[in-house]
Amino acid sequence: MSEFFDVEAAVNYEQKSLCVLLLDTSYSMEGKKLKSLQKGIEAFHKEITEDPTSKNRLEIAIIAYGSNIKILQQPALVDNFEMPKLQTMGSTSMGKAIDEAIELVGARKSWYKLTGQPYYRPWVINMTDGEPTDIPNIQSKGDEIRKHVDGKNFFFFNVGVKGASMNTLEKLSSIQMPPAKLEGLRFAEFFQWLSASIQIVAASSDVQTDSVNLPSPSNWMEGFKIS
Amino acid sequence: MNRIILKSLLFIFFFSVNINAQNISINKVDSAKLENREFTSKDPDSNLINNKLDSKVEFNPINAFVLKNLDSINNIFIYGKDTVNLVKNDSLFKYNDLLKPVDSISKLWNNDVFDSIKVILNNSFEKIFRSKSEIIKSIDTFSADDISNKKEPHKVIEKTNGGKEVINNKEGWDKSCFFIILGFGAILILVLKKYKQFKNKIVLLKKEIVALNEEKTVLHSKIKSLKSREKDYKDLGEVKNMSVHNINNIDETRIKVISKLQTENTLDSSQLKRLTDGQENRWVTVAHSAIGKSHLQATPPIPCQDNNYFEPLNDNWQLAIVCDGAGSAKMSHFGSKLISNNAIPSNLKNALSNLKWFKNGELPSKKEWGNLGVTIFKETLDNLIFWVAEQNKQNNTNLSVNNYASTAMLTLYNSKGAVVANIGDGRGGYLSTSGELKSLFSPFGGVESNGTIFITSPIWENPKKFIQTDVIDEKLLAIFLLSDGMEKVTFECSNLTDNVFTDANIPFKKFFFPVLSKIKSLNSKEEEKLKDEWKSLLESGNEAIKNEPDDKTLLVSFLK
Repeated sequence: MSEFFDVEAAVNYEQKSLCVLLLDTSYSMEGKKLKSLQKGIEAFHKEITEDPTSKNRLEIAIIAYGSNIKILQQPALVDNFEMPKLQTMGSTSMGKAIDEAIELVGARKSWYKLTGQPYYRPWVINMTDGEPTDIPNIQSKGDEIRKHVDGKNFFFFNVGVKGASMNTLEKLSSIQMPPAKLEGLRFAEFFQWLSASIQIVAASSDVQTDSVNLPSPSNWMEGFKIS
Repeated sequence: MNRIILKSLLFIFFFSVNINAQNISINKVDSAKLENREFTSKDPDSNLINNKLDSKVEFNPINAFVLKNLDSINNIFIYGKDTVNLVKNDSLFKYNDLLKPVDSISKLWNNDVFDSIKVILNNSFEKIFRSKSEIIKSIDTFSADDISNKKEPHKVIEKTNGGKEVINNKEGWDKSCFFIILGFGAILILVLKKYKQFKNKIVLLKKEIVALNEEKTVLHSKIKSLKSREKDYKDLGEVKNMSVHNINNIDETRIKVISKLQTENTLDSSQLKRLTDGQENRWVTVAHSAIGKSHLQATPPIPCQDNNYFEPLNDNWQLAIVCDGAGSAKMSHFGSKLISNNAIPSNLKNALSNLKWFKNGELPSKKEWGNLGVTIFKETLDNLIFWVAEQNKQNNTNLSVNNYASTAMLTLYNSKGAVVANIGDGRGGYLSTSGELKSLFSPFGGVESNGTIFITSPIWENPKKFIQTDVIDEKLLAIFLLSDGMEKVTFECSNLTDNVFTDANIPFKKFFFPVLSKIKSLNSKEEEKLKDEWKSLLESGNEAIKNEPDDKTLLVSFLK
């Protein structure tokens, strides 16, 4: 602390950055995977709570999907909620979850816009260990996602857990953010990286170019090599 | 499986009935009751077999027989209103199958059919449960042939081929019992089967209930989500209504907020006096660019992309520059350094050297400065492009100029006022001699907080739309330039009142007044500490500064 300059900081409303987590809770996630994911999102919550900037900036929404989708958490600052307990349920309704995320991001953005506040580009993170059972046409769903990403509506990042069809995730990703495969059950490491990445992108004056200078994902991404 | 059971049951049932029928087809026909008088016929030639029976003929042996012996007939099949078939298993009792017309059959149907059914049932039960002692030894039968020949019915003692005179009813009883038990057994199996089916059905239904409950939970969460969204929309609706019905309300709210913040951030006379007492008319400038927390924490760490520059150009003019390299551009720390420390100062000094207003320490017109400001930036971009090409040659790389993207802001000032030029989302402010804290320009930003422009952006077709230039014709006490990393701490820039967001863009008095007071209080020797103290302030002056994720630059120039 500076004793030399006895300054006070202005009290400003923190502009919001929305992060929507789409979590696969189909039966295949049962057991260790789900436990690690649960620990991961709890660590994520803790990390954000302990960061004074993110605490007031980052709004988290959680959508779990199995045989159906569940909005476990509406967009809110981490101080206002505890991470929900995840439970497995049925098949992999990824399509519905993506649709819900798009709708949710849209609703939140219109609120930001109508109140006249600037906001950081929202993030949608999709974590799965399988492949969607409710998307008849993967290519067209991928096109829809890319349209939103190119239109700067949000960032969309697919993370495959062991067992995930990376080929399908590839089709559901943008060129700027190809899908990444989680090494083992390193959910906690992933969420630590995510928290840092969101901060960096928020701190960045511009996210228009393709090469967002994100932290290295080497401690959670399978097969990641520093190029 | 069920079908097989059902078929077996049906088979057993029919078989049983058949056996039963055979067993109980023992009818006593009392020939005595069939007296001749009852069969008087007007037409002696009438013959039932030849169907020649006149409709008017009253004598009808069937009719008579039926009426007289209703209780001893086993089965009456009524095929039509006027056709009767009497079924007897007794071979002696013979009719042709079809007898018509028989007038009285309709009568029989109308009046006695229920009685006859009753009798049939009685007979059947009676025969099933008849005791052994009730063996019927003889059967009186009635021959149709006899009737047709108008012969008196005669008594026939049944004599079967085997010479067997009786039909043992016990045999029928045993067989019936067997088949009844068999039937019950089959029914039991069927019931058990059904029970199992119901049980399975219950399990399925239970599963369905679980699924429905799950669905219910999902729907509840949907409802919750929709309610929360409804609230959002309600809030939006309020804002919308404001904008639809009275668009001034948003503006009014903003004006109120800005006006309140302006008042709050104006120095009172004692504060102003403290800063102006014994004025030396000497500019003291401090500046530092500190790395942001997120850049430090990144692996590998991202270098500080901010850079600053200040230089007293002559007795009249001070120059200050701040550049913020684009976070997404890998070489932007070089870009911002080159622009702020070399290109802009060099281009500006070249351009200013022959300008009269510059020499005289007077402020230029807005138009003149506007053109000059844009020219300086354009030349700076050209320098950058040239420099990047040189770098590519030297390092055998192929980097585009966008990798060096940076914002840029500059101000040229003296006590009489300032000229400013800005590309990007930085902020600038000043303290007027009247004690007011004001902004130098507005940061350029889109709806996204992290969507701004850089000197390398495609802004050059219509540069005046993107590049802000201004002349501040107001006596100054201090001037500030900062990158967006410092704005939250030092500016009133983000206010949400009554759901209306306002960026007042006003320097925060409680930050700047202590800084200026401190500088004012320092003697020349103490001023030497300023640089280090300033660095320390920018790195970790308070919690907010310490935790700022973005790079932080603040330049303060004070007319001491």
